[in-house]
Amino acid sequence: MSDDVTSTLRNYLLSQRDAMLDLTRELVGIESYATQADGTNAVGDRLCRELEAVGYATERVRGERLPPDQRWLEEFMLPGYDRDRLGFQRLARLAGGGRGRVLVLGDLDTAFPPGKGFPFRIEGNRAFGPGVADMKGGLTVAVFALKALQATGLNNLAEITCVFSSDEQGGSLDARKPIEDAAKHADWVFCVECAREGGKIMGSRAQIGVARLEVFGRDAHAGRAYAKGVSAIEAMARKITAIHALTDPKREIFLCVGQVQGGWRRSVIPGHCWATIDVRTPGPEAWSEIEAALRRIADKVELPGSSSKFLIASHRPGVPWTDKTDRLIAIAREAGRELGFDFGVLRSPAAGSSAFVGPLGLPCLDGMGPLGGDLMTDHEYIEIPSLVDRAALLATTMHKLGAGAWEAGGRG
Amino acid sequence: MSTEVTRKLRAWMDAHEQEMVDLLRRIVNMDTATENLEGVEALARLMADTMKGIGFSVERREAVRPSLEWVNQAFLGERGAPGIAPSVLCRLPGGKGKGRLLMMAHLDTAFPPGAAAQNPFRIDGRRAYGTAIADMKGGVVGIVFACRALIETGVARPADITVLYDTDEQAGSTWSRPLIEVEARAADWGLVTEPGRAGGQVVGQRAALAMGEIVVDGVEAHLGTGFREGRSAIEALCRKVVALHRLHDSDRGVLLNVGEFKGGTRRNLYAGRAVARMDVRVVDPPTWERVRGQIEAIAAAEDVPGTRATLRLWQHRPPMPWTKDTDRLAAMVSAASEAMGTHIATIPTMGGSDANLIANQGTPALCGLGPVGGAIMTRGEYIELPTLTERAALVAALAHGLSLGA
Repeated sequence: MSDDVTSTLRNYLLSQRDAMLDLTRELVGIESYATQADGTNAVGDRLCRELEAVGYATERVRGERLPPDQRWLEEFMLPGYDRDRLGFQRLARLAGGGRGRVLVLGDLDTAFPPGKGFPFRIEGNRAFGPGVADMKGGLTVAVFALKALQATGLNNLAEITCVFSSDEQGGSLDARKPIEDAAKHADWVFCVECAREGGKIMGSRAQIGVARLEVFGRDAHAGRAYAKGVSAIEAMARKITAIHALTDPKREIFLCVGQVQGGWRRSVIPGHCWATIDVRTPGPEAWSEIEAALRRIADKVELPGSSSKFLIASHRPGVPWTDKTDRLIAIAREAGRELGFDFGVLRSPAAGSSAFVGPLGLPCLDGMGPLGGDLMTDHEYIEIPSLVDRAALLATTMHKLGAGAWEAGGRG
Repeated sequence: MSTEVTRKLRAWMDAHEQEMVDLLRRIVNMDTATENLEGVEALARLMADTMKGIGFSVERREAVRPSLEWVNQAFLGERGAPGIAPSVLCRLPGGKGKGRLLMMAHLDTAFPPGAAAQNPFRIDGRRAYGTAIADMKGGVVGIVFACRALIETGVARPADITVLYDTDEQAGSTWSRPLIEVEARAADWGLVTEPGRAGGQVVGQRAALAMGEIVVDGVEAHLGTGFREGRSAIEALCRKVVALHRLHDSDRGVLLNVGEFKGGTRRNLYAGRAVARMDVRVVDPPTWERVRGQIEAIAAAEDVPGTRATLRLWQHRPPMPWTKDTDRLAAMVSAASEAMGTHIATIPTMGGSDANLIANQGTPALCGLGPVGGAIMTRGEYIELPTLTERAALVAALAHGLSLGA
């Protein structure tokens, strides 16, 4: 093995360069915010058509609704949206005669709400478009890596499974179960989010969660009855500065009050204020500590007569960095070396679809998609040549796993 | 001002109590939310006809869009109104006494459209209830009957009386302000029939009212991945809010309320923008100068490096300070009320009204001359029914007294 294998895969993918860019353009052209079921279904159909053509069996599946005490999360993630109308989660599966089982994860939805996108365009080596990096370019990488393994006859794995999520931007509440179910039958996981910071992949992902804080005071006219009022905005402002003060970058603990709204009239002391909080910690221990600190801040009565209501949930458990991670990185690095490039690996303070495989003890490399940046902006882009590089990296790494690199202790 | 004339006016008023109640019922049940232009227009026509009926010449005055659009947005714009109904300007020359008197009441209410139907006029014991009955349908009625009493009793009254019914007081009088100022400059005194205080007093001094808006621009970035670049506008504004509320000091005549706060677009982004709106009331001009400087300093502070704040402050009610003229007016209130067998005090308040705009032109003014009321801007808003006639008689007595040059 095999620089021969590597160049075979690479050459195949080089021959598909235009097709990869075409598919990316086509996928970007389909608006697919999580609430646009027609869009996420269309993207899923398109991917499944490609994979069915090389022998994959595909399936439309659904996750489970949350238990009633956690339903607030559904409303929190996609306000006002009827979850029964979500697009389907997609499974694609191919059994082979080899050894080892790989799970590939990707997302059908983008961060761009309906009508907030912009047209796909190419400038030099970059392709711009809504969701081109996060993560339609990654979907192209995944599909073509799998096609390359089939087209070259180099698929040496026992099973390859893909789960494409329709609600990653909505917290993956529906996709979670299909991903967890598929992960139970996998040995290694790859997720095709775009590579970070000039090509880095992600060896670990944070535990993340969300909270909703409501503060209640008492409405009163600011001129006639100031003393009767209790300002929920004042109490909330003090809580927010205390919440932000929990941020500790050295410990990879990040908190952000992303949205806040209180009051309804200048001249009325505001009786109500709400805020949403995003929380990221490196793992469950730090999570528990931060959750307890947040509860203390929420419960504190800043002003006589103020009260609060606090809801918190961790919807993504994250992926810890383990020995297995090092081993998988070593194998991917070897593949990269054969392809002529190296890459860094980082600990990600964010999390996505791969966040559910951590508790199952599976090693996962995320950020296997193309190099890209300026996510969620009107100039989100990918580096076009990295479509081929990254598909070759994924296919070659998978081939090495099938060829026994893992048993060899990650020494290629 | 003689006790005899005051009692005569009071007796006339008592004899017309049922008519006053009937007019009050009718206009309380008319929906005149500032933004309900049709509703306000209907009341404006009724008042125009009523004033013509008692001998005034009446014209309608188109209002003027404020030159500062953000000010317009902050008042009328937020209530979804494209403009306001024309004011009703009524004049009565020919009084035997001296001077020019301006009387004012606003026709609009602070309630949302539809409130009048949900909370109609009703009487329960000594109180009458209904939408905006105190603020200030009661005062609208009071002016009509004070004028009628002056005319029908034939007592001396100011040479010229101007009655101005404006239609956007509950939206800061930003459109009516130029007209009010012109009429105030032409007048020797101003009487405004906002509700009497719950304790029965009339108002001789009013606060300066300003509204402010702070917009903080930060740097929007994804939490975690954008930690280094992200600058939370929400965090910066929260620190400013806490600092602003520390300026509140009711003992020194400073009321400050941040009544609205909004920031951020997504839960997982450091907020790129946050906006707070505040209401500031201060007791007198020197306090305003001090507090304004403090607000400016708080806005300018770079609480979170890399964030930037823009402050806009607009004083829509300039201060109405207590002056020597206020002493004289308060003495007249005292004398007239005692002639009617009661005692009505004159006090300062921290509220604002059109009286501020009159006083700001150097014209002595009194406010709170409408019936005594409470629970204002709630469903339980009421007036003390016996004060409907009492306060109208007081207004007539003051008009008479002023015309004597006392």
